[in-house]
Amino acid sequence: MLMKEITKRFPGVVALDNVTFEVRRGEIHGLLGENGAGKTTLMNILYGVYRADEGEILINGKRVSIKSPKDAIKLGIGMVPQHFKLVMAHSVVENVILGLKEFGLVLNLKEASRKIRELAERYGFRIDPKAKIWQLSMGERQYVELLKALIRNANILILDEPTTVLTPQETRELFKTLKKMKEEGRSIIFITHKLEEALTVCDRITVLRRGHVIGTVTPQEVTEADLAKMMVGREVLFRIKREHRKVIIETPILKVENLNVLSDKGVLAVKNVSFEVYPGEIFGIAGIAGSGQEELAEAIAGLRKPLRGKIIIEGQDVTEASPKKIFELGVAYIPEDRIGVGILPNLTVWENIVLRHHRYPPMAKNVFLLDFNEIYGFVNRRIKELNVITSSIFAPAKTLSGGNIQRLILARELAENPRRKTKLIIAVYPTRGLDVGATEYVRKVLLRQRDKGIAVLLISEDLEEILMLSDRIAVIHNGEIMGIVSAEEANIEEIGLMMGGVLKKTSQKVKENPKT
Amino acid sequence: MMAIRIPGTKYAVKVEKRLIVRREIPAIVSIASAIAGILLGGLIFIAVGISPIDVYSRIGRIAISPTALMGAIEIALPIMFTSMALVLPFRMAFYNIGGEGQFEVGAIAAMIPVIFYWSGMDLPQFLYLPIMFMLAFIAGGFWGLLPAFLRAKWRVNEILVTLMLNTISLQLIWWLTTPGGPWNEANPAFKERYLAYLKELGVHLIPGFKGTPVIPEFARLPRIPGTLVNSGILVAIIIAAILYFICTKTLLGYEVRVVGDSERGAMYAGINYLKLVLIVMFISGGLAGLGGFIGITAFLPKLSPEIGVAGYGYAGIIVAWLARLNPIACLLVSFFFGILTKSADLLQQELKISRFIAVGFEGLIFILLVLGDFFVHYKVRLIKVRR
Repeated sequence: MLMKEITKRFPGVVALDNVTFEVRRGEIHGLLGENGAGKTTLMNILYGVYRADEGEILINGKRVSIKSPKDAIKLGIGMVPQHFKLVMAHSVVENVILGLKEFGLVLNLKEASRKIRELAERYGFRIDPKAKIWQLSMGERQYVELLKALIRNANILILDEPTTVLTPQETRELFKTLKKMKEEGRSIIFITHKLEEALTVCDRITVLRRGHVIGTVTPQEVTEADLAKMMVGREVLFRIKREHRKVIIETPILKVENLNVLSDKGVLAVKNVSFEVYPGEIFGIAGIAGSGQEELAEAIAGLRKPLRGKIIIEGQDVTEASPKKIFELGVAYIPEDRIGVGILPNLTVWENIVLRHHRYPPMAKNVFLLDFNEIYGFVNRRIKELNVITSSIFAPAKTLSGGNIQRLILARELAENPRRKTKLIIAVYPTRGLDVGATEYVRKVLLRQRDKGIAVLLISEDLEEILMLSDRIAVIHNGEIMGIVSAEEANIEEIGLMMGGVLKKTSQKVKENPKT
Repeated sequence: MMAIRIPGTKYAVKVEKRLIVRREIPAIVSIASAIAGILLGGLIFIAVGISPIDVYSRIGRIAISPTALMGAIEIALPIMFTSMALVLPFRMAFYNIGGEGQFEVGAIAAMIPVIFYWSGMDLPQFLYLPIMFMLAFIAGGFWGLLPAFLRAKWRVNEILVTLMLNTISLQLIWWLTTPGGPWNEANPAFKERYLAYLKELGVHLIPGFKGTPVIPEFARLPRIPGTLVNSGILVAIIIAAILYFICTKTLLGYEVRVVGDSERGAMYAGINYLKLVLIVMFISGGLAGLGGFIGITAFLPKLSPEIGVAGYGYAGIIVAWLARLNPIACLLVSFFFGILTKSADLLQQELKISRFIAVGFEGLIFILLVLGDFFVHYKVRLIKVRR
């Protein structure tokens, strides 16, 4: 497969400039790049979602025209999207054959199930064709997406950041499956921003930056640092320098006791969770996405009423408190859903930064009137402090890049005034989807706040991030805390097993650990 | 994001989303849409055998004739209120389709002192207007609170509730004013005073008429001295200014924008949705109710099912939307709406154009204005195809 001299322009930007990208039969080809580098655009062109302004696509040396995903599927191209497109209430087999014609008008589900089992066996994974999607783990759902592509005989598979939702063990399993597919002569395009993974699993790696191909390399030729430099265009500090702190166990800022929280579906998402977070520490919660972390964070921020249990902030019971009250106590909340919750996409930068501060003096003159001099001054100071890059404070927030949107949220949440000092930061997937530069920045901000004596509750699915930043680590699986370990004695294998629900440390050990 | 090649040429038409909509674009697009409507309308007039030049020159004369303009304002005035009423709720994505009902309830409430008057119970005359004013606002406001409360508490769809409330309020008017109804002008309770009043005017009561007794002169909104324009227009202008101020300078306006953009974001910011929606809908219903009060005191001047048939509340939705929820633009668009309606009326009378053509022309202009919205958000360009 060859994509030759592809150019794609969007209003105001050239998303892809003369990009040539070649994938050979039977190889795993990594596609690496920061956000906005053009990875997704390039793949969307291959999959027929967009059409290139210039350039051509050749498959097996023949020029092809791909006008829609339908054409792409016919040509044997399959896509496993980053956000799964599955019907939750349907079974595996129903999802897999959705849109296929060969199983008849009256569906021959038995035949389809047999085929699914056969495929799963061939590639070394197990799946129950009758299971409903909502019952499956994220890793299993990924296999369903993969099956969808395989049953359509995809010879070129596109995987868009497939490991984000997996435990280290599941990732390894996936890599085995991918290698088997490769041996059969299928080609796999593996989109990622995790350098280590790219180096382990790929045969060749192409790096994109700002719509240009920087180079195609083999893992033997390069190191992680080389790849990072290719992606960002400058040297990147990999290990942010920090010493693990001895956590001073005195009065906790946040105390969670036997907390039980329901999810939107009414299922118990957080089960009997207890922990404490102390001033000046980063308390990391590791776990695969969707293990109850979001519900836990929302409960602490006051956005979700717990079913049972207690949340205590600086000795005050805030289990039933409103988000407003919790904000006033000095809790900064960096939500998971940046666009839907964290910002007001169509409102301006100033309206976004003054949010939550707008009802207090000096921003508000009284309950009725806003003081615009104060507001603009405040907004400009915050923008400067957090380096938010925007054309103007009157630009809609949605025009900012992902990294700048996160800076904007930090600018708002970390703002202090004489009546409100930041005491606790709840950061939910704070670097998800950010490019290397922005990730580095956000991590530094969190560390800086910790050094000022603020308590940080860090929720992340990126184990490397948790290990890099946290002083203590709790592992969550299916709503339960599987154990709490200090960063020095953290062992990635053990944490992985806990994330997968295989290992649970006894509650005694949990109590011992903070003291080490 | 698509390009369609024009067959046989080197060009293609390309549609692109505008990332940032510049301020002047909506105005330019609206004017272009109106012009397109006039041109298309011309074709229709030619098709039915009427000279479009004749039609448009007459419309032009209407626009500069003082009496016709007064008529246009007369039609526009209630719509100014029902459209401005929607500015705040629509900005917070609360789709109040109940302007019609709130308008009618306002009209009913404003009639209460009048009914008492004809039944023989007096108040000092100068008190009538302020009391009617307040009653209309409060009644409309309460009519608006119910859907707001249901939505905030149990997420009951506000569109359905407001629509159903519209039916209820109209039925209430029918029941009150129909012959035999408690407020019908032929009710014996009004006999003494009302018949005497009619006699003085030299009018007879027509049996079987739907409607209340007329509002006495001292309880009607006066004209602006020296003009034919009802002083309700001044109230409308003051309210537009207040609303504009609320939208741009106050905490309330800010929080309304926040909720309108993201309800979850607003919850996260600690904004009390229930409190906000109750305030906004009280104001909204109140303004629509004021429209009802002005609708009956200025023109009819009585309560009858006719005010529901006119559809002032629904017209307010179109107007508010075309005005892009800007209260000052609401005044202008309402006025434009008034001119169009007045033109359609006059065309019927003077040129004997069928009512359907005249009203259809009015509809055409509005459909084009609505379609024009596409061009506010998208840009269409001719590009050269390189091959």
